[in-house]
Amino acid sequence: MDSKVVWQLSEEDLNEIQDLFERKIAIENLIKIVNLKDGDIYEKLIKDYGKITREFQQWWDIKSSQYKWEGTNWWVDFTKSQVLTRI
Amino acid sequence: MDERTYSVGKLAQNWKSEKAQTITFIVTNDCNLRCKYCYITHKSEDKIMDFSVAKNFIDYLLTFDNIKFSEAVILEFIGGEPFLEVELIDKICDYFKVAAYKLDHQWYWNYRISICTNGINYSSEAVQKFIAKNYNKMSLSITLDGTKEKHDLQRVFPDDRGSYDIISKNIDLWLKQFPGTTKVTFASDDLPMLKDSIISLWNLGVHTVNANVVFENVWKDGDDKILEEQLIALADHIFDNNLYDKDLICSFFDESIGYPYDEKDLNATYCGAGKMIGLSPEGNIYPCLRYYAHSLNNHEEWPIGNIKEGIDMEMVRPFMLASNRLQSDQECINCEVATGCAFCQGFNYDEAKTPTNFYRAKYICKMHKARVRANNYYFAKLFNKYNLKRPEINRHRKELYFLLSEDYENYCSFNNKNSLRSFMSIDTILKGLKFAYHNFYNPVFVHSKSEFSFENIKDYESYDILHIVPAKFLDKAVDCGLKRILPVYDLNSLSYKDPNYENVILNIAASEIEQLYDSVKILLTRTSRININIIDLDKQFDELEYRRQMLKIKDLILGIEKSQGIFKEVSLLTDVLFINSHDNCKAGHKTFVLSPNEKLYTCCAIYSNEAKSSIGNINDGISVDYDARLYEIENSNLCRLCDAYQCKNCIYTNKVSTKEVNVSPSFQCRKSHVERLVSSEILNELNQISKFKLNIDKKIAELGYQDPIAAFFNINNESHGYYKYEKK
Repeated sequence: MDSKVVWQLSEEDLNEIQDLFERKIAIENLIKIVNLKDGDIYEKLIKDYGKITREFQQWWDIKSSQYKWEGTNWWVDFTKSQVLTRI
Repeated sequence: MDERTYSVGKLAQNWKSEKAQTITFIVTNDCNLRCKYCYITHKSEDKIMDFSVAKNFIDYLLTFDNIKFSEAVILEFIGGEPFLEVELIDKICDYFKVAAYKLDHQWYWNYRISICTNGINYSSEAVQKFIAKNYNKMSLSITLDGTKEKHDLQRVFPDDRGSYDIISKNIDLWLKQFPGTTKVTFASDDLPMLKDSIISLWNLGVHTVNANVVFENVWKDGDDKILEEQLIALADHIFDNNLYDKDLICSFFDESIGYPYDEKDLNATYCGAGKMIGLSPEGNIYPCLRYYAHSLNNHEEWPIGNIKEGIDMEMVRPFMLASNRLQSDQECINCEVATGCAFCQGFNYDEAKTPTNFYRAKYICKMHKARVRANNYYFAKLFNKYNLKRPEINRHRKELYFLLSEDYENYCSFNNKNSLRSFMSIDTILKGLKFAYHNFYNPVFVHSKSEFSFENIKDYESYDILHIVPAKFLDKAVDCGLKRILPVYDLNSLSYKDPNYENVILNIAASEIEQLYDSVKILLTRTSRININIIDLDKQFDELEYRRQMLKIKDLILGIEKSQGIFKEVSLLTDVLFINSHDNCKAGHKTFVLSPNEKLYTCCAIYSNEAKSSIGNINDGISVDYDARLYEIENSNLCRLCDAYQCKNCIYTNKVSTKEVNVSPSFQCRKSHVERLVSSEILNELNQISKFKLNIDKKIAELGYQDPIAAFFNINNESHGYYKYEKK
């Protein structure tokens, strides 16, 4: 798969998306091990998951529009602070 | 975005590096391999962590409020072989995740699970299930040593069978799941396989290779040479195949290593022991797993607490106070290439005569030096072939000035009056470069004043050379491919336009001082910085005129800053704003001279005026005891009490005027204090310019004298006899 760098993220932007990503994955992995029987925690998890998913998507919507990124279906290379797209 | 860079020479970024607390669970002392270089010398099958031990530890960490929490955490699982206990690890991770979430602890999402495995059971159902469950929250590396020959030499089963064939079956699966990162260790026997091993790993798709040599006392005579040759051969392979920018990493090449320590380094330490936390199967807590009994041979283990009583912070204090300054002996502290020289505090502790942490085992010394040489070779070629520079690090490396001709250009305050066009031979230059390379001198070529006939041969490509070139020959210098050039101007060459060098030298005679301002004004239109040399300084120096000129230059600098927002530097006035120690020529201490006839001198003036006073030659090195200590700034009773740090303190002027290299004549001191005074005015005015953003944290105190001998008299109350100095 060929990719193209469309943006070099600032430290602030990188930290934002990295934290959102970490939160989202953490909850997804928690959902794998917490089951319905765990009542309160399960409910909180589902609520938190909805919230983080919205925030995650919002970040992409805002930044892609703000910086006018080329293409679609972007992803971040956290080691290089780069936003990439498929070509 | 398209800026060219290099990957070989940079290190892999660790997840949340400085922000994450590492917590190590030693889940078992057992291992299915018996690697010959392994530091865990006391493996055992029966020491396996009980889940309750890990659970109590996690509860303690998440709830005890006397621990300073970092914002992120790395849960590291280690053995022996950690995946022998994958079900236990899985249970511990699940417990951690839920417990942290229940407590709404930041670590519930800001964590990484980190495992380094030998890869034997990587494809097992249990390991794969664990990986799937913790997707995107794990760093996982398999230790693969390179070629099958190299790997099987060290990484063997208890019956001495090599493990390569079994592990290599799991590599494709691993590389589909994780970025290829591995850790390779080299000992004496396998050094000749280093180059092939790294290339083999890269070819396999393992793009990040963290490599090191063992710290133990295993190194034989000549091993350093083998390491150096292997790394140079690897560097050549990288260049021959254009691999330097292909996202490959080999940590043997590191842009930050090979510099002397500065104050910050001396107060820091190389190793993270005491910043990490290790838990043993028995429930004891350690500053790092290397203080646990399974890897200690001479001293008792060093726990800092246990799961029942928690961490005893008193026991952690020695680790907080560990520093290179106290762990190293004078040889290491004063080493010219100290940075990047690795050590393990746990191993040091075990090797120390008494059970102390303030000790450093030095078996690795010659191997580190070999690595630095190979790094210098790699980065020189990277610069010369591809114009890619490693970051400038502001440390004083030693320099060797090659006087390429008897009529070499003036590059300091000494006026070379020799007009003989007698050039250094290519053979001598190459010998000098080899000498500089082996002894860690940065080579500086000082070209002829009157003729540019320099032949830039391919052999020079392996060295990062600074060329000091008269301005009138700049075109020729560029045409013959010289890269790092420091142009030299004087009153006769100011009209030579150059392609805007960042930094230039301006030579001006003391007798021409009334033309200083005009000369600076011309040059500042096309450069960012001027290094001024006042040539032929003597008792007759016109201090008043000098002050007038310097004040005009001050106004010029401030005017440019106010009107353009650009801070131009003029060495004798602005350097003192940025430095806190003397920046003199360092002749005889850090800088030396190689003459066309292959002899070594403390400085060019000594060569040109006292040719018999050489301190050695290119074949034998510095072989004459020239009382080197007197050339160190700390051993001058004037300079050590003086903060006119921009002063060049010419040791030849000192010697000619006072007979001692470390005693400056008053006219040189007074000249520097004129500069210091004008610098303090620059500082005061800069502080009033609101848009000035250089963030200078500097104060220049008002003194009641211009000659720092007064400072010495202040601390030495004995009679001064008949000596009289001018106070103002």
